[in-house]
Amino acid sequence: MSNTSNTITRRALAAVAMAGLATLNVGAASAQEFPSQPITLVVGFPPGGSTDVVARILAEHMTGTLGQPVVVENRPGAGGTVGIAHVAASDPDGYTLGVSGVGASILVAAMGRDTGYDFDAELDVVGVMGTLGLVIAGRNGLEATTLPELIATAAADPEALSYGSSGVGTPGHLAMEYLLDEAGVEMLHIPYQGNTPLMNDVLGGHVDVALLTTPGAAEQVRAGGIVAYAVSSPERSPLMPEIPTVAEGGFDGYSATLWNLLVTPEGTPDDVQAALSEALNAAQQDATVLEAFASAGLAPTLTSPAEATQFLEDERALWSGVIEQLGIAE
Amino acid sequence: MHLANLRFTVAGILAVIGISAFVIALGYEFGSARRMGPGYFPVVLSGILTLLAVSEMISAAMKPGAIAVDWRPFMAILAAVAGFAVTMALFGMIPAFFVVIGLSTLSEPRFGWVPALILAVVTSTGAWLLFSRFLGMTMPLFDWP
Amino acid sequence: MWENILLGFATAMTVENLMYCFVGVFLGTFIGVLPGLGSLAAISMLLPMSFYLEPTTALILLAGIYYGGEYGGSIASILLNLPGTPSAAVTCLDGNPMAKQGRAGVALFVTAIASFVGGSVGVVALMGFGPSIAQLGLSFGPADYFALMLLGLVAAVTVGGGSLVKGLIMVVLGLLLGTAGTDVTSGEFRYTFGFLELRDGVSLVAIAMGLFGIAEVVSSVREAGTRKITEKVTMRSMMPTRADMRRTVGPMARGSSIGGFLGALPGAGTVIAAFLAYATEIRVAKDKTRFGKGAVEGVAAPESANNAAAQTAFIPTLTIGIPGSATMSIMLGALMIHGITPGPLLVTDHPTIFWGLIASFWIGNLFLLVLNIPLIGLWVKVLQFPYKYIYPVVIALICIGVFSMRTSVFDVGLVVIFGGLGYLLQRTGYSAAPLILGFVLGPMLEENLRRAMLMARGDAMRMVSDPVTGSILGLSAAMLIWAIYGGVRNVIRSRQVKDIPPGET
Repeated sequence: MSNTSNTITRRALAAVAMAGLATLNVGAASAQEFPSQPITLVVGFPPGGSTDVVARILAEHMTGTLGQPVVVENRPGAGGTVGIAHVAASDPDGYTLGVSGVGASILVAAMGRDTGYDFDAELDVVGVMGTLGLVIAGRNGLEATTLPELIATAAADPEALSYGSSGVGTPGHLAMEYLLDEAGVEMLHIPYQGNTPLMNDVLGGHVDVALLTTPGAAEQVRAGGIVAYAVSSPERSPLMPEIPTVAEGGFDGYSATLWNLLVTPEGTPDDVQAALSEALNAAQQDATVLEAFASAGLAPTLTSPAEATQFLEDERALWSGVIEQLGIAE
Repeated sequence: MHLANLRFTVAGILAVIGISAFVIALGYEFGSARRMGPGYFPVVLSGILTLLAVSEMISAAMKPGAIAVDWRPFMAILAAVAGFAVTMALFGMIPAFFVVIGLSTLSEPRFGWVPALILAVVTSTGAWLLFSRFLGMTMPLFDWP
Repeated sequence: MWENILLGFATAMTVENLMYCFVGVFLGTFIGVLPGLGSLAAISMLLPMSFYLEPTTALILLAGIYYGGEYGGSIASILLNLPGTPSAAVTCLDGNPMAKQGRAGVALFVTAIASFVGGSVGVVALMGFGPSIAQLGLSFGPADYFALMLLGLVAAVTVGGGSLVKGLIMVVLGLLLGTAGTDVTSGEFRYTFGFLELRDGVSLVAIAMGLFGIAEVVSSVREAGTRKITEKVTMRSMMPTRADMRRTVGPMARGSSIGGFLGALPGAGTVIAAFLAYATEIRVAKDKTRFGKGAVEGVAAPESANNAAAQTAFIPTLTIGIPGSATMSIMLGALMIHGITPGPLLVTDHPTIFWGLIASFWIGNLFLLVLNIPLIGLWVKVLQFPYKYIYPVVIALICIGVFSMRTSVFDVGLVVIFGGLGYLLQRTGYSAAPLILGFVLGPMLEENLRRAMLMARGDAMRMVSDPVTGSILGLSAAMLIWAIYGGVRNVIRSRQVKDIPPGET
């Protein structure tokens, strides 16, 4: 018996030793011209999702500019925070980048929930990877044809309408509550797990109103499956220019957009950030990228790292204000 | 370690899972059948699980029977997977493959050094070719914490 | 209609598209057969390959990877009892016992045929009734989904075989595990214990690999020395006997119809299809005791259902732009990368993509058949290799497979917990398949019930009075009563017969 356990210990030790030896081979990355090795772009959502698509379109072009592959790595979980937590804990050498959306950058923390990182203290913002508006849409057969009519229906009977969002605490939920609060009316909130089942239920007429992402909604509107009332962005969407903004519908100053930031761990050298920022901006000026952006409803957004940080500040002020006004933080 | 009545023990583990889940679920808002809160399903489910597990415990206690457990492969394989997780996080993919293969082979008393080493080398080479070269995954081959 | 089909074949039959279809099927099978890597893993890993291709070609490649991966997953399930997906867990139930009896070749052959039949039925449904099936899917509201999930769960209890109490325990444990994560309706975290990784729930692959994979390897190591597969790999030994063939016709027909219909329902169909098809066969069979011990019907029915559903799952994806599963949303993502927004107008705006893809489905299924029949001999040889050299590699592949799904070490840690639990459960006669189904359906069941109650503003009668919901609920109730009746009858019978020792399946 003791003989066996001895063998086990010895062999276990050997396994560890082998692992140790193998590790010694690592060459210390030399601080040459950036980039000198492949760059990992961490996406906090599964492959195929809208964030992943944006990341892949841009990574593809940045690979060409930087001369090193920019590889998308999916670390999905907890509204994108799992991926950003990984980036925050990585070396600030510019080889681990993250795509941080509204949720991971602002909302999760503003709702009073733990994210696993302190965004301002642990991450640097390099640039904005495009912005996207939401569409307030309704099922076929609703009597209201404009946003004011929709609001009037809800004002007449608080139980008349239900609206769906892609989850509690998501931009769609908050943007709609914000609008309802401004209008002083009520609708029954029905949360879904993401945009897909929500779209299904608006098309099927099971829920009355929904905040949907632009490209998918534009196609459904074009096919006559749903009715669009307004877009949440400050400007009209190029995908559906005939649809007014919420602000035009009588809610001055209303704005709610989705976006993604390119982030690096805090302490990334300025020249590395500059190189990344340049590559990101170049990508957002490329004709092929712009074509893909247009069909995805994305507006290119060119910024310096400093401007992108300011952009985040402005957005945070806006969303935190909404959350505070609604009093829904935990 | 010998467990006289494994069936009883396993049902006991399930009952403990059920009770713990029940206690935790009491902390969530229960709501009502009309408007169920987040606690509704967990409370009902863990309650049912506990009842079923207890009934299984009783039935096992009435009909005791020894069931053999292969502790050696059991511990070796679990250690191998745990070892992979730790090594992958700290030292990268290749060392993790050596650890998982090395510890797995402890399942059998006489596996032998050489085959274990050959397996580790072949598997990690294959994984390197497949995941890093062909699929272009970015996980580090070697790392240092 | 015919000109569309012709257009489709003309698109799919170009040398380039044929080649990528073949490459996709081949790579998909290859990755799917690796333990721990299913079709979802295969398609997410190979997604970058589609970047430089024409949109149609890219989709043809990805679709090939998808059903190649599904078939590869079945191979791993049959040979090593390692299911990568919930539907493959059903194939394990009878496929693996067949392999242990030295009939792996037959099981794989039947799988190939059943997959082809199911796939073809799915393609025909897709071509003929795509848009109308899509409309039917849309009319399914939360209450109907709830009723459907309930039906799936009732099927799950009956699928496990053995003790009804143990089957119930596993389903309830699965449901309970499914509640972990963020509660959709309230946004509250449940059973996350402060881990960010648990906010989206427990990883399905970690559970499946722990309960099936680890448990299976641990119990097989001891047998490894004594086990010998004496099967000679001749063409004859791979061929099903005449009796086998006769037995598979009915299950394939029923499985294809069930799968073809359910696959078209976004989110739900593909998961339940295999389970319901299997449960149906148990109900229909004269001798129910053969199931779980290597009944060929138990392979043919879920495999044809699974593949039919895999095809019709493209109906909501392509005709209304609503992806039915994680795999489908990757497909749509690939289209968006190419600047095409999927939606209801895809069929009219991009007919070559739609019809070309459908034609390629059928060609891909044909490739799968042609590719795999000759390979069966090779797969069976894997079993003749000493198990001693297989299991360390299997464990390593499970680890890397689980890790790569979400690039998460945390999930590998979960495999340790579920592996430990899984082995103990297996030794004491619990079947893991009902747990998997409970886990997958649980969140949808709860979410849809609560959503339906919200929409009905707390009025349960308003929910049940809907004809579709009511009839599905009635069907589940009937199945449950049938199951309980069968269970009670079995208990009475087993009292009379000699007790079967637990843990021996």
